[in-house]
Amino acid sequence: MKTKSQSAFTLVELIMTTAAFSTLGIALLSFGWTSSRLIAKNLATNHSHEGVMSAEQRMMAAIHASGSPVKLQTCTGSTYTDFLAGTSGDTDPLTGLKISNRANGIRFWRTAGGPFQLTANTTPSSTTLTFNFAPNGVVTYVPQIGDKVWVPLVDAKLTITAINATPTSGSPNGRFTVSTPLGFTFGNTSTNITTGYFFRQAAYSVQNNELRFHPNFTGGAKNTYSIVRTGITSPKPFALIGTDPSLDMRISLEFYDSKWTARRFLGGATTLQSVISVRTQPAPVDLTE
Amino acid sequence: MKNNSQSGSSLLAVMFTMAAVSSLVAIMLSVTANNTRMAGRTVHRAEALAYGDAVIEQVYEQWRQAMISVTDATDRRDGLTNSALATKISAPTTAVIAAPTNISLVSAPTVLAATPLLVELTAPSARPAAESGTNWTQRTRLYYVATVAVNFPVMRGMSTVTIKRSFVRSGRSIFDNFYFGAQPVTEFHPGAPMYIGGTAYIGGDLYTAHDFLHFQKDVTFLGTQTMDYRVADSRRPGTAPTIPTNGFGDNWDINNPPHRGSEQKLLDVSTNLMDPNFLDDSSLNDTDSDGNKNNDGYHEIIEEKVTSGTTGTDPLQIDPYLNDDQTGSERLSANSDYRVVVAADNSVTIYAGTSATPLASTSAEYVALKAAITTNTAIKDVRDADYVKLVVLDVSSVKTSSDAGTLKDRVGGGDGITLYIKDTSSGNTGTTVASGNQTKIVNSSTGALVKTVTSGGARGVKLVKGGVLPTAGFTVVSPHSVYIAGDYNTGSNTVQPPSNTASSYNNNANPSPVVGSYVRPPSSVVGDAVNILSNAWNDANSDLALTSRVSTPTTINTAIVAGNVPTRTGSGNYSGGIENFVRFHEKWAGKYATIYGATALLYDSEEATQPWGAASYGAPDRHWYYDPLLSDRNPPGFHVARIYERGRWVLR
Repeated sequence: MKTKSQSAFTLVELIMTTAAFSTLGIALLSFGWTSSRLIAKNLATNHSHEGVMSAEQRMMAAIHASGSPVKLQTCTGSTYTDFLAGTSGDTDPLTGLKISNRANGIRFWRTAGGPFQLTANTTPSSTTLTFNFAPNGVVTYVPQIGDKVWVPLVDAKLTITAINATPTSGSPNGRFTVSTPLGFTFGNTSTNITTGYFFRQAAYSVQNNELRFHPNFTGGAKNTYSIVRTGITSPKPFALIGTDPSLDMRISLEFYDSKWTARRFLGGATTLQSVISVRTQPAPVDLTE
Repeated sequence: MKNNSQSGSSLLAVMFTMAAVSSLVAIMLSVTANNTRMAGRTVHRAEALAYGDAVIEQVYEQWRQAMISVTDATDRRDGLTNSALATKISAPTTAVIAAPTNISLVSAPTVLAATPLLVELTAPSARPAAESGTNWTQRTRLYYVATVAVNFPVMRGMSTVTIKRSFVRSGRSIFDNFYFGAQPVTEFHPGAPMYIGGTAYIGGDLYTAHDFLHFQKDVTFLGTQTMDYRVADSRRPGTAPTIPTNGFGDNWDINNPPHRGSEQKLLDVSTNLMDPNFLDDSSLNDTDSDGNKNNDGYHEIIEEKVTSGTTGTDPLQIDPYLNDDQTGSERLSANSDYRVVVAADNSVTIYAGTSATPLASTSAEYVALKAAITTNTAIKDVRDADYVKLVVLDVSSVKTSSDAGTLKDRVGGGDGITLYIKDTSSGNTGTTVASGNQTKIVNSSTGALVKTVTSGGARGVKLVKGGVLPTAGFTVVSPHSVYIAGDYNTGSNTVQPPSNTASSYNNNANPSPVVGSYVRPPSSVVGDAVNILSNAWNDANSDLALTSRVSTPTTINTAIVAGNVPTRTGSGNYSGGIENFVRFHEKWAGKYATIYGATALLYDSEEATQPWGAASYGAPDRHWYYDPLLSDRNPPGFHVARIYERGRWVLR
């Protein structure tokens, strides 16, 4: 049998328990909410860091291996024009050097293939060159009109104007015509080794919050691109160090993590400033299109 | 009193709450940790790449030092073996490059000899397989591949990033460029149209102020480019640069303007071994500062080695394997096939090759060369304010003797004929006929004596009838001023090449610089200063007014190496710029002065030292083009410079 005191105690106990659990629930909710915010911010920040750094590393690999200096571009998504950059008033904090005005694109000549061996003798007036494009039995590069070939032994840089024989794994010797005579006699190509490196114009651009890579920035193929990273919010991330064009590209890439970050958690925007240099020096080809 | 079931409910509730909170925290921690680790992986990979790149740079410097410092002849010629190189390459110490936290090299960096196709050769005794193929056997490239592998932490354990770079030693010539400038300051301010149809290498700062300048090929510099006059030039401030007129599209390819480039080597000689007084901008301090008379700047290449007294080491003699026949030097006097020495009494002594014994005056070689030489005539050089006592060389006579085999390629292993001409007389020639040293001006057309004159100390070499050169190739070197009179290496001494007779130039299809199908032999003219006298030049007019010295179009097809007088503060002390790298003495008034060849400004003039402002001439229409034949075959007497380059960068 229950006593009075037991009944009263039960009511107080209920109230107190309710209050305690309410307090605990609120505390838990607050803790969870705050934790979620902090975690979301942390994740967003980490993700945005990851986003810009992975994009930067991908660009770095391409620019390091570039065969030319870097040229700024103004890109609309359909048209691409060279942007002659004057010096801005800003100083790059990493190098202490003045940076150029900014643009939303760059172009350069990426290393597309080589070294491949010259396999047919030439005279100074030769405009047709033959290379073995499959030294290991596999054709990894097929020349196209507009590509450049650099013959390092004589530092000749020539533009391919016609393809005379497309290399295949079964017939690896590819033959093409170049814009100007080579200017040299190359003899005994069966015993001498003379090499050529091949370059194809490429570009990066920022459009519609996308960092885009244009692997074949030639003619009508300029508009074909792959997306390196979405969520890029810096409209003109590209600049140069020194004169235009330059071997040193300076990027200021801002990435905003729109998926990981709710409106209230504005912690996911990251700006990465970096200078990426062309590693092959002297750069074997110039920027002439 | 509570019953058991009540207590259990509370306990369950508490436990449930704790479990829920713990799970939530655990999930948060896990997600956060994983995400942090993933982001950390990217950061660590970036750090590993940067560290690996830094190590590669250190290894490159170790490799370069190892390659340039060996003395063994085979190693210098063919490159170090893998085993020899392995002892020279090591990971940088933490004092030099400290590895980031948790990032380390997988193993010591390696540099292996490779083929031109970049296939690494692993045998300890392997040397690089040379890339070759042109007519010029010294033009080779040796490849090595450096590998640096770096460990960095990932979510579970470690990962590795591997960087490979090719290191290249290439044989390059200063004549791979149309213009090679070794001086700290280079100025291009032509006052008349000037087209540079070849690459230009500026080993310092570049100044371009005039809109007449047209670079048609790649231009690189090591310092900076200024679209104005240099500060020491009296035109700055005060004279506005005209080069911005119409934009820069008419001055160079807008897609490839002059830009900073990599250093190119002049000779296979370290600049550290040279007296710095002779490598700086000013010519006012061109005096020996270290007691070594054999390292006084690149002017040494046109001087003979000093062997008496305190001389010091000759840095131009460091490599006995420069020539195909493994003899020779970078000092052109020592690398010449014949040395012609004219004494104060105008007697001629000739040495063959490296011999210290003069040729007998009855020998066929002496007779042939002596017949090609006229001594003790003079011209007035208005700029130098002196009558220049000349040694006149009839190049057509040398060609006849060389092609007939009388004159031989004694040094250089088949590179052609190099002739070194020096007048050992010094100072005033005297003023009386009785002295025997008085010099005279003769009419270039008739040979008649015009007048006797006194040279105050200027000496020179004048090249005449140089239309057709010895087939094997021909280089003339002198420590004095050299005057090229009339068309040179154009294929004829009488017929004008189209480059002289054209009424206009189309810079994409230039008139031929040779007569008919003449094939230009490789050639160079090297002197303290090099002057161009037109086809209309006559010594008799040299000391008359400019209106009596009117030129006709002239074509010079040769490489030219010379000095200048750098700009000094004060009016009229402009260097003359590269447009006056070759010096003019006539009223050209826009007539064509065509050069197909290459030019190299390597030193301050030490004899022809009067400033450009004292010159008396009217500017020609300069059309200067690079001759690619020079890349295929170097002029006699010159060697390759060994260039060390970083090649392809590959990430794995």
